[in-house]
Amino acid sequence: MTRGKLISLALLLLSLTLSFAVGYYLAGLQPSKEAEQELKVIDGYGRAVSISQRPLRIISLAPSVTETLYAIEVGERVVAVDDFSDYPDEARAKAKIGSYLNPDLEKIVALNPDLILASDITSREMVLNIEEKGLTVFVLAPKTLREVIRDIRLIGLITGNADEANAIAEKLEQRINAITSKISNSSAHRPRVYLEYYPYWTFGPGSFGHDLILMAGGRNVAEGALAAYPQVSNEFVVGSNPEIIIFTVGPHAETTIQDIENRPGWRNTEAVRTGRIYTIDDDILSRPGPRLVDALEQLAKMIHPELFA
Amino acid sequence: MTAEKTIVSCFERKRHGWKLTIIALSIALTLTMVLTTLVGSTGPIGPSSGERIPLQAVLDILFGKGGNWPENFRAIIMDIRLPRILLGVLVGCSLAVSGAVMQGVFKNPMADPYIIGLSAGAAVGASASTFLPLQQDIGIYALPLLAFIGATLTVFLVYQIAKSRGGARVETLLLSGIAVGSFLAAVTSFLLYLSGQQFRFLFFWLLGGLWMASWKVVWIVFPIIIIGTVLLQLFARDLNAMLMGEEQATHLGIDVETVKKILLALTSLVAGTAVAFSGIIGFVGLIIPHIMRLRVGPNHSVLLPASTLAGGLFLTSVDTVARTIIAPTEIPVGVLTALCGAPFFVYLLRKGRRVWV
Amino acid sequence: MRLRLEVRGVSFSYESTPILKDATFSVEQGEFLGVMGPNGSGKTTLLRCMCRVLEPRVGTVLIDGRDLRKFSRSEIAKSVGVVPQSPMVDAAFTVVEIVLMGRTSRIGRFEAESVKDLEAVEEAMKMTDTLRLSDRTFDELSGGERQRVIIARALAQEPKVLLLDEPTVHLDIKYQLEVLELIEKLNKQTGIVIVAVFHDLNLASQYCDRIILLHNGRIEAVGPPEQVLTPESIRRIYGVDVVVKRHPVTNALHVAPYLPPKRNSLNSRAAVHLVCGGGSGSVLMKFLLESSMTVTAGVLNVLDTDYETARSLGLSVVGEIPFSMISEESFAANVALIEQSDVVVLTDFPVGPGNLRNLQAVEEALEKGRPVVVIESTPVQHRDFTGGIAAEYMARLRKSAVVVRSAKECLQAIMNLQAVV
Repeated sequence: MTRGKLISLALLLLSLTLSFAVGYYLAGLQPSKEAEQELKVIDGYGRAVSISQRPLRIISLAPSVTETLYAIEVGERVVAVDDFSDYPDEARAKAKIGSYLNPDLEKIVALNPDLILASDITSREMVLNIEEKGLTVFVLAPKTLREVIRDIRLIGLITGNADEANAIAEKLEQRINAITSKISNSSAHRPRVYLEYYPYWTFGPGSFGHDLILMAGGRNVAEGALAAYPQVSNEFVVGSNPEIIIFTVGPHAETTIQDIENRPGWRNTEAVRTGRIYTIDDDILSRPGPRLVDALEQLAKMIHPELFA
Repeated sequence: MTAEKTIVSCFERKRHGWKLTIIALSIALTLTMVLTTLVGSTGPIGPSSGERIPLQAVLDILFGKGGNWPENFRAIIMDIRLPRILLGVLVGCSLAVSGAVMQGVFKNPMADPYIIGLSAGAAVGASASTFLPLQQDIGIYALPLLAFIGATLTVFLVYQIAKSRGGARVETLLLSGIAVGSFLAAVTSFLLYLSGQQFRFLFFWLLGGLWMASWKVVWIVFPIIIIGTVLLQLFARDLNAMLMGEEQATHLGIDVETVKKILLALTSLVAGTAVAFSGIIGFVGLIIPHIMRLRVGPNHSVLLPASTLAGGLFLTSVDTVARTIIAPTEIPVGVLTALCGAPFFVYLLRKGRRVWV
Repeated sequence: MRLRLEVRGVSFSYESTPILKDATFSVEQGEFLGVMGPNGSGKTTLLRCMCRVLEPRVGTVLIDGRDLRKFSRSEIAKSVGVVPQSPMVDAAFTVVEIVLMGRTSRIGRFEAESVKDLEAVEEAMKMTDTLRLSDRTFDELSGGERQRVIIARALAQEPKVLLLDEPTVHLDIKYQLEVLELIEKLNKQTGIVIVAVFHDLNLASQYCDRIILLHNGRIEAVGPPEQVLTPESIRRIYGVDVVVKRHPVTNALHVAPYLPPKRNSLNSRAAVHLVCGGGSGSVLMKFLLESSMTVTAGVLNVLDTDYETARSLGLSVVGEIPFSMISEESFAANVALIEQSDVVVLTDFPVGPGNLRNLQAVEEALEKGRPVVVIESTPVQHRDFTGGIAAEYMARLRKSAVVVRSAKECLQAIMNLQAVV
């Protein structure tokens, strides 16, 4: 290569590198935030998050979080929610920042939030990505119903509405205990339950659906599954002979009782023979928020009608 | 004497034409980069809901003239938008140049950077990263790191399988890539099935997107892609010769096996880095080289740099549309690259221009 | 320094099938070496070993005493240019770009094409007369033009040796000659060593200084064409009978397939004695043999084509030394043959004082009552170099002989005569 070419190439590389260095430097120039009174809490992803005392502008990245925020009366401090937050109705009017998978970062930053609350439906990578822009994200990842209640209290704590949150949590715990104590005191037979959220997709160990069935005094036919949301076959369901079949209804699933009965071999199951096929709202079963307790109550009525009128 | 003038000056003219093309593309790319900083869900150009950044703010922030704009405006332009534009350029460049090189090495117009298992390996790496608790240590870079390792290991494996005594023939490499790719795709499907809660995210990652853009990422990606791309340009003459067939290339003095190995290694490095941070964006590596070939011809001395620049321009433009047009929802950029690029390519084909020969 | 390329004991096998066995020969600067042999005899393999596209298991190839294995690829390309059989160019490169690729081995990776490279390209294109094709793409060119462009590309490498694999196959004869003339010109003007695989025996013998003949992977013969391309070696190697002659005009060796006609068969229909010369009897000889006749001939000058034909057909023929009158002995021998024959045929050969006595013999035969057929497609006046005597003979002969105008009519006449007998 001629010397001239080498020199120009070197200059080009140098200028490119310099421009990037300048850019990076400028990007790094941010006035530091004053350290207000801060809370350090471990979030659902195991990270220690510093939260300033009373966040005034909150963004919710999950329908379950939105529901909880409204339940503990933080609703008016919510400035934006994800596309799927549709409960309560007031949430629908809030500004939207896209899907919980890939929220619109520009919008989020433009809204100047003090705190962003997410659930584990937002990936760890995305959470870190948002924090990269200088924002605070707290993730809630409850695995059991008890943890959901605990998280309600936690949300209350970090949003500065601890009292309201604790009150709600108390009531919910009472309702839960009302069911679980009756179940444990009863020697009634625990029926086999098949709970489906989408045709042939059910809840396995590690999912809320599975936990709720147990708490409601039933046995999940998919209790031996490897995955938390396994797919099952006709053979499996018919072979496990569920006494109760429950399926979710909502915008996604369009199953009808007729469909269930028409599935090959299902007529032989006790559930179909005795007509114990029920429906339940998809949202209350899948969102780890206050309404999960509603789901528990409904399941209890379906599984043990003799105990819960 | 007139004949002598003809060859030398005729080639000089051709080379001059090439230089002009490259300069024009560079200018277009720079302009695009500047203009797209004005476009975004909050930017001056974009959907009209919520907070909007005025044009003056963008200009002030870009050229460092301060002004008292709110802090978050700065963050949006400098920390969110600009790195994403730059990442788009870098990824687009690397995919397009890798695609051009693969098409030359394999003498196959259907070749793209993923042809020897790069994407399949990256997918397995990314899926596996959800099962390994590495985020504690390296945070957001766990997934890209594993995706990169998956991609490069797979290419290495594909080569080893295809290798025989004399080297790896391209037909064997292709078949080996298909076999390994299919296997790994099955592994990925299985991992997806087991991923449970992470399923949606993994699926979303596979579709490809530039959401992970930040200055740190750009800093990691920039040197690798720049150095890799520059090194690839040095093999333009080798690729020209290899287009004649491996035997003819050997006659012309090219050590085909060594060059093949180097090119495969460089493209896995360059494209692997791109895929690690942006998922599997299709179409760019396949079609941009073809479009450029239709315009500038098959000579890699101009095709490689032209594809590089055009790829960067294309991807960053498409991504700008993807992240703005129905904001706050983002269209996966891979979907949009296909939707935009395919009809344009069909148009060029119908105009009767020769694609390959 | 005089270039010397040596091939020593080179053997090559594909898997376990041996293709080339123990090839040994050498070529020097300025030589035009042809490589020939039937299909599958290892010609292309030999060429590929000579440029190290294939690595021989055993043996070495040396250029100026240096083992080819020690050369880097680009070093080989600087010494050896290769023109493969029917090379394909699958992309829309222009001719200039294609020829420029020949410079690849001489341009460093970090360098651009320099004026020196372009000049070498221009020189190569001048030598191959492809300058006017500069901006065309390969698929627009004719077969001969394509071949010349590839040769130009090889020349751009500035090699000392040029290897060509069947450079004229698939080309029309015009382009065959074009390409071979070009190669010969290069060889003579620049001293570049040419090693070319040929399938055409005649082209090879016309252009090559030496020829290597391969058979089943072994070199059967090496040497100048006349030594190597003999009917025996060709029969042995190609399994074909040929006649090898010097072409009367070009003086090149000419090889022609030779279908041995039927010899004088045992159940011959008639014995025919041909009095001919100057080539007028050759066709008739064969024709009559085909028709199951016994044929003899005389008196013929030993340099005459008819004499050659008769000898090669194994006929009894009376010969005479050239440029002399027919001797008494020859005349008597001729008459003896006439006596043994059933029919005498006189063809229309040029008559001079030397062979005038042939006419005399025919007249005597006629007087003795032997049937005579005279073929006179050319009037005697045009071939009379005896000052009219031949014409007089002919006038007399015409009275009693059967006069015909073609070989076919002659045959018919003979049949008629036999029928009468």
